[in-house]
Amino acid sequence: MPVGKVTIFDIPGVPFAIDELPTPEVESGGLLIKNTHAVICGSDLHIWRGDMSTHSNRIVGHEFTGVVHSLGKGIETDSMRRPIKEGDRVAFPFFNPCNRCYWCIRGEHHACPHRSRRKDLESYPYCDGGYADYYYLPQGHYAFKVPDELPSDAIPPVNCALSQVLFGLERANMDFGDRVVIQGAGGLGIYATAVAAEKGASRVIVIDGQQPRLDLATKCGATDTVSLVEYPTPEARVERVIELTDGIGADVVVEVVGIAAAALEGLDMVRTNGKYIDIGNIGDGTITIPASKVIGGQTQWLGTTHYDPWIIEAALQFLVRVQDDIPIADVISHKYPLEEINDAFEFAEWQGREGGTTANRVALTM
Amino acid sequence: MPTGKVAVFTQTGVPFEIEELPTPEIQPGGLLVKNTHAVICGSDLHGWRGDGDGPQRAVRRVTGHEFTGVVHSLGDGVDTDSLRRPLREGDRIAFPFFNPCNRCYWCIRGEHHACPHRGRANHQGLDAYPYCDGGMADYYYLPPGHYAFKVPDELPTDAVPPVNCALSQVLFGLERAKMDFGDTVVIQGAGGLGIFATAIAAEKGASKVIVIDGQQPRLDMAMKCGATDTVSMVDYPTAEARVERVRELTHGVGADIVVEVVGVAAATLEGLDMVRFNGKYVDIGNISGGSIKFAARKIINNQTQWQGLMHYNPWIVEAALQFLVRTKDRMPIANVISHKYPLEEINEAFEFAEWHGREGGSPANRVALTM
Repeated sequence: MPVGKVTIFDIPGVPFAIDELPTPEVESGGLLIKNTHAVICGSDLHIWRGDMSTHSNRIVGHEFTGVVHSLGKGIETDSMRRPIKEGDRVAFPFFNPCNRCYWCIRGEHHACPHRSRRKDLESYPYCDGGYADYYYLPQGHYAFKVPDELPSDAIPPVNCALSQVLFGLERANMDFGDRVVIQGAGGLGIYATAVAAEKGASRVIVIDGQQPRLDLATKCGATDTVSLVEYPTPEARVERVIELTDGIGADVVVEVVGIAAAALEGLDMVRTNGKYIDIGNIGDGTITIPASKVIGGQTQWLGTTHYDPWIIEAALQFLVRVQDDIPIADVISHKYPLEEINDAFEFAEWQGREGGTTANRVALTM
Repeated sequence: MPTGKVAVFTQTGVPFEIEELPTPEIQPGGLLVKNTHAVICGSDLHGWRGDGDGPQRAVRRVTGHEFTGVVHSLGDGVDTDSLRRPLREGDRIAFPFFNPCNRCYWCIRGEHHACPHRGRANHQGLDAYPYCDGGMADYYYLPPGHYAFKVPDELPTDAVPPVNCALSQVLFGLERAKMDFGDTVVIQGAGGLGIFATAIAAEKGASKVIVIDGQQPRLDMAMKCGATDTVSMVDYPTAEARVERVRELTHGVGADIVVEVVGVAAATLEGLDMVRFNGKYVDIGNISGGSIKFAARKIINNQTQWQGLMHYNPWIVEAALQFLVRTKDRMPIANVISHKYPLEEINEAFEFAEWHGREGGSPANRVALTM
């Protein structure tokens, strides 16, 4: 098996180290991926900054894609039984449902408690992760052939940002004609906007502090935007959403911000008996609410992480369908070779702080 | 139209006063109910005690929402109940204690339980139409567009008062949660709502119904109504111990569904920790104030579906009545009224009901006023 470069994250403040590690032997039913692009996602920045507690000495990166390097015995198709061969582009979940637990037997693959592989780097499968040359999909994996119509730059965010918000809106059972609020117009927010519009929302109201992001949201299906510059307080923004929904509030509010206070603001935008789809708030921080708040609003507060495998295929087909109409198939704005990962993170972080870039994503290439 | 007695509530600490007020003229499509039983529900005690964070309102009003009665008179055009079954004077009926408007964003979606205009006129004050109109009163007026259901002959009258509140509320909660056959269900609190929730979860095919309470007689009653396991707050005095016990009883997984019918703020945090990964928290009881503090990522990381709800859709009342017909010989839930007071003795009745709640020892009993 080949040897591949990996980048090792230890603790916040310490630069990534580059190393070379062996790749695992491809078991029967397994599939080795030669990574081509890995994107820096907001969660990666959370980890890098130390916003959320995590373990040390590991390979990070989960929003990525690649081509088939080698197929294990018995594997000749993707998860839809379409033939695949070495060199084919594939998209895949960055987690592996175990298919052998209380959740998996119910089809709740996104919630399988055994879905994450968190091993140290000294044991099998060694070179295995997003910010690395190779990634190993074990027996029982899910993988989807990328449609020929899609440019490669469209694929890396499929298995995280796009699939995550698509799953969120599916899980919410959004109805045709619903009024949807998207809190935050970063990578996930832009996708959520486009998905809500495509699903038949009668209004998609997008909230952010950066005008270029709001402009992009408008190009991707937003009917209204609420700028944090014009509406600087949560009260003003809540009021604006209520106004835009004829005094009713939104049927569905999607939180893709990642700041604790956003949850309180967002809950107040949900109409009585509406839904709050909570995705972004995975950092530390607490919130305090009246014990009767969720009852009084008859709110359905739905926390979501990860997604079920079919979502990836739905996401790929969505991109094929809309790529000529809205600018979401080409979200990568900057590329760095894997070796320059430290510069890439510094640059991505600068982006986040100063603003002015429109939902762009920084990719590492291998 | 007749005049009727009304137990007027003004504010906490001021006894109810009995007044005689006119009843409204019955419009076409309306229906006047002669009340027969009104139960003192936990929410009534909350209001009476002045629980909650908000300022107290000093408004003359009629309380009582968990009640039933017979048809006194039918408005023009009303000759059936909401299922088109013939209705005549003297028939026993059950009905929601609120009136969806059928003319708003929510009602057009069938979300009658969330209609913002469903509020009760009698809570706004007694100086205007329709006057004598409420639960703890002789009469109640169902306006045009109302929902009403004929009570099946098989049911004893004492079974009916809690139908339109306690029973319908938890039945709606479990329907809304889309409980699956074989789910493990935790019921937090074995009061009136908790006992009904236990019976419904069992009837809906739960593989485990785990009931938590501090009073042994209530837990014993829960066992008679379908609980498979009980967790006593005496045996498990801390929230952590109870969460641990639920984990143990669910083989380390946690409960598919947890139903909160307690009404104490801290119960919410405890209950959320009993929900399995990707499970559901059905929040019903916590309407009386207090706040809770938790990690912003708590709901995301556990992939919890936290469902708050109040009131119910009209079909639930009929489903509740049929449920009682089906189970009344198997479970002691069709006769939950333990004590009766005439309406005139409402102050004694509240004092007695309050004593109940504080000292414990009575299993899910309810105090009824009769008229």
